[in-house]
Amino acid sequence: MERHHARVVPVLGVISLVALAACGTSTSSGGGGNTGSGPLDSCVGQVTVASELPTSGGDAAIGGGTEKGVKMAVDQANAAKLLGGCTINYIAKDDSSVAKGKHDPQQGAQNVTALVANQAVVGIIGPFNSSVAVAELPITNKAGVVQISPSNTDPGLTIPGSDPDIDTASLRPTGKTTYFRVISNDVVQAEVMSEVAAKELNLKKVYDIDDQETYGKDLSNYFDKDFAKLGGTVVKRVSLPGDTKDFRPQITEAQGLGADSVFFGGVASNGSGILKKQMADSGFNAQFLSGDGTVDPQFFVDAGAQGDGAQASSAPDTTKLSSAHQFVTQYKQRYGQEVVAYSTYGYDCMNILLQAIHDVLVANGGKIPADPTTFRTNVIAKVQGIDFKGTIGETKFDANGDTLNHDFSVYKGTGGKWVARETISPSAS
Amino acid sequence: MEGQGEAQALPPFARRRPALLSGGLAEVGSNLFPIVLIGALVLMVADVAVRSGVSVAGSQLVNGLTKGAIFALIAVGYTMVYGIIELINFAHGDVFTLSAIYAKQIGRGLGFLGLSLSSLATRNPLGLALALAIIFPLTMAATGITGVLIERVAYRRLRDAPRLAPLITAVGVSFILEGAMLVTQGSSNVRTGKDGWIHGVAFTRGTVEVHWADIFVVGTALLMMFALQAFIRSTRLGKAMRATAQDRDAALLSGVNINGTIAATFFIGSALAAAGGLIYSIFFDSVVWNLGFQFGIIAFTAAVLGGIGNIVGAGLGGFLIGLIYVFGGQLTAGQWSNSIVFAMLIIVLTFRPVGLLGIRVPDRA
Repeated sequence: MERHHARVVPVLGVISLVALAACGTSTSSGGGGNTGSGPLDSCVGQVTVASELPTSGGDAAIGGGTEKGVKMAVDQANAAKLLGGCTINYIAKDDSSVAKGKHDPQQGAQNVTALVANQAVVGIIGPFNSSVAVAELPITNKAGVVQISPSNTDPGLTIPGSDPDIDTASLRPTGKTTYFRVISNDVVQAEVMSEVAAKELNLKKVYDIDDQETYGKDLSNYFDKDFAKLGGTVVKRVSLPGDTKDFRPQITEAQGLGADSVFFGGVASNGSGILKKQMADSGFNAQFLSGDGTVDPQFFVDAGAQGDGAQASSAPDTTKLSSAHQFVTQYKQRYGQEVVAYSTYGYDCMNILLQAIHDVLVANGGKIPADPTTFRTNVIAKVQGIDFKGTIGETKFDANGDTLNHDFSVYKGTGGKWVARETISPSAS
Repeated sequence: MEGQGEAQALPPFARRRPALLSGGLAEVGSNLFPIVLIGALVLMVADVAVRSGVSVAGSQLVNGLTKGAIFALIAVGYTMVYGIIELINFAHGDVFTLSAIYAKQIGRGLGFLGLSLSSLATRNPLGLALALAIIFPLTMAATGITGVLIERVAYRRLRDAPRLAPLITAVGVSFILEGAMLVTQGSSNVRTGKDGWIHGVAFTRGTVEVHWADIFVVGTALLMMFALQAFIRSTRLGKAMRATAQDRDAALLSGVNINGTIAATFFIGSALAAAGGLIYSIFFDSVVWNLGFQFGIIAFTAAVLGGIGNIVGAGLGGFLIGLIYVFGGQLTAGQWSNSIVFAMLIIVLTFRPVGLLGIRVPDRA
């Protein structure tokens, strides 16, 4: 399968609320540049880190591209001797199962159970999907192993009471924060997308389809609420199983209801591209809107040329940030492919983890802490306190584990690719 | 498979009358079932018409019939196999998916030979007819042969084994086919290279647009099923199939080649699934390795609804299930489409295990 990725053509913002990303300005080389750390020269042994992402199946394009970013961070850190005399051992897990053909919460839970049982593992990058996070977080939290996600956007994962379907407290049985994410959440994303829909595109009536997953349902809920607040009408909200291949009944209904737009709350492996294609085939010209789950090359595999015109919010297109320039170039050199939307996020996640490990080792007198539990606990504390300037800008975490960086970009399907239009920093949320 | 009708032996999964229902009540339920079913469907259509307008109801009718046409073609294969060897061939849904992939590969192979079906098909109507005339027989033959091989390898030796054995083998074959497609095609949706083969609006009634593709799907399904019916009624092989279905031993004594007849049944059933796979490909231009799981199990429900073993019933059941799927989904915001279909399966088995048109299964079962 060919993989294309957006070559960035920034279309200057029509939107008034755009406060163009300031996050590109604070540049610093990410991890890997931290060479010659004298205090760790005497370090002996191996530190084990892991990633837990969907790298086969329906999510292979986007999950695999994220994992490649993670792996590059490890290899660069090893090459640059970030941990001095100690080496970094990296375990990559895949949470796609054969049974589902895509990300599978059960598979994810099995993976992290195995990872935390391995005393050597001090931190895990992932998961990719919020539904998988729900299954994994209680396990890593109990074990006291830090998890940093490049892409989970469901607010319920960190903010109690923000998602009726998620009992946030149950994800943190110890009461401590062990889970962090470098991307903002769906509350902010839905705000961005509803502003675009109502104010910029002047849409009045949306037909909302979710994919019955944690992430999709939630994004749709927030979108509906925000869109209504801005004066729009949600003509109908439906919830379809992920294996839906025939959206014509919904398209017919949306046409009948006079919808001028269709919002899809869900991931591309659950059919957003198929939906877009069938809309075009039925001659239904409503605006297609979606969130970051759809900003995936698979969307255009399914939709083909008919994917053009779709608009979706996603993580800022960091590929155009000067801070990401070096990484993007190296990635292409190494893999012969363009980065995917989350490669930089994966790369930063791993660099944050490695930086935290580095800081723990330094604080411990240049040695790996003898007690694995202490090691893990100290890494969590260092991640919590991190102030990291990486490819995606500056990352700091609040007490819930959420990033303080709330930028999103709006992407538009153009010539069979997702192209970022502009980055939006919501005023306040 | 006709005429022996009324003295119906129930299939094993429906043979015992439900304990909950006394004989009288079951009788009433059984007789009322078709009326209730049609009544419910009419109510659903009326509900959509009232709430969303007649044109939406009309379009949904088209959506339901096109979906139903594909279910019907798959259901025929289930029902033929069940009718003749009392096996629920769970691999049949995957044979359907496999056919779409065969068609894709055949198209690609012809492309290497310098014949691009897609550019032929999108050139003009004659080219389209030619492309269809090439791809349909090739795909149906390839899929039919696959069906025969499956029967030869996985089912023939178990023909006289306890019924559970071939059933489990069928599930196993299903896994093997899915696994093979997963490995060769990858786990995401793949395009079938039939985009825009049949496009455009055929006619408009009010605001209901009927596309050429809709007509093609329903027309092909009906044509295939009529051809099959004629084949079974009026050819020697069809007669042999009917005889084998009625009583295998007696057919054998009368000189029917049982193995050949059963192989032919698998060939035809699989070839029809291939027709379904092809029209699905042309309609949606997308296929995924596990597509057949859902389609297979829904088509099986359609076969039971129509009366398992009954070919006309399977066709009718397919169309009805398509409509129930679409209109039921409308009532429940999509969330319950699948549940409604399988609730239907339970209701049929409880109240009218013989299905709408009656079961046709071997007497000696």
